Amino acid sequence: MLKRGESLPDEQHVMRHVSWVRLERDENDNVLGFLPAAFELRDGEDYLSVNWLEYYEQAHADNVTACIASVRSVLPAKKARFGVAQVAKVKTLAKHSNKPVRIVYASSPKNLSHSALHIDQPIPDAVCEALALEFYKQHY
Amino acid sequence: MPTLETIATRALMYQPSSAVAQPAGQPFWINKPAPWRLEPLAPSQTSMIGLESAAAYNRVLSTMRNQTYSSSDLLRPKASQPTLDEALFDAKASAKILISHVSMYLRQGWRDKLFYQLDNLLDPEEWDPDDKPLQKRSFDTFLKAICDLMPTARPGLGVSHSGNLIAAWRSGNSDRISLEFAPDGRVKVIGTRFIDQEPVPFSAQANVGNLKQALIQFNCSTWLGCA
Repeated sequence: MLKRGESLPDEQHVMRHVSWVRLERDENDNVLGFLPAAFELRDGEDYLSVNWLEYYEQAHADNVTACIASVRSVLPAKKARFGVAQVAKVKTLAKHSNKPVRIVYASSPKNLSHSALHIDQPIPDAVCEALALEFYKQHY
Repeated sequence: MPTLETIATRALMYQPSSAVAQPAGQPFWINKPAPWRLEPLAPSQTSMIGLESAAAYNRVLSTMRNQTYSSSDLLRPKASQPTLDEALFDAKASAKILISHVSMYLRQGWRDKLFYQLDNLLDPEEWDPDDKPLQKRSFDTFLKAICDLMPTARPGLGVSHSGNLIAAWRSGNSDRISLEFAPDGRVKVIGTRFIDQEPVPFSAQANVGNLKQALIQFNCSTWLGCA
């Protein structure tokens, strides 16, 4: 088990919660993807919140189920979706400057698998778009 | 039927319309003449209303005198912050009013569809309280763009953290574009074109007045059906 502040292994996975208003939808509100705005930082934020799937130490599908249940206990919105991506892929897509991209374990008492995706700021729009497409490839 | 405590409380909080603001922290009845300067009940009054009621009256009086009030507490109803439900309701109402102002310029069916989408979008149960509600001027920028572009394809709608409206479209071959409308008339253009099945992201900043040129540049105007 990692300690707080340690980097997640490249071969492991992170999950991102995407709220209803930042889902890409068609005119009839059928969900088509994630909007790039789902990967933008709020004013004052210095990292993107994600959840470390392998924290749950089960098979991948069970990790996903446990992680979604954990996040929903904190963020109960029903129409939100979740995207999953591999750590190495996220780091590749998010790198846009000389500064390294880091994904570190940052648990909190209410969100035990919480992790922080540190990207050099400002995050370019194209990076947000690439992350939105990547995380939607495995969505729930 | 109000209790004596209620009546005493109301009496102590009562202020005539000519009342002048007291310095913060001072009870309003200080240095004020009767009738709002209340006194503890005299023994003769106590015998008239009974010991229990008199004790309640004096207890309220004592409590009120020991409390401190700012002048704003006393002279104005508190301007409470709108709840999330109220803020979203107001945002929805403002957006619908803006739509009604330009509905004669929209393509047939757009008005009703936008109303439907706004109802689904501004859902308090799905709203993150850290997000700003939809900004009216951002929605105004969106309507200006729609009236200018007159697309045949209807967008899906979203909202950014800062309350800007986002409109998103997909083409038949999964190319996509999203436009984020800022309150000052700027538009953030972000999208992806798939070339040989490889995603190629693009982004740009435009003003609502030259948005059509940006869409032409990214080969999106055709599948949006812009006029």
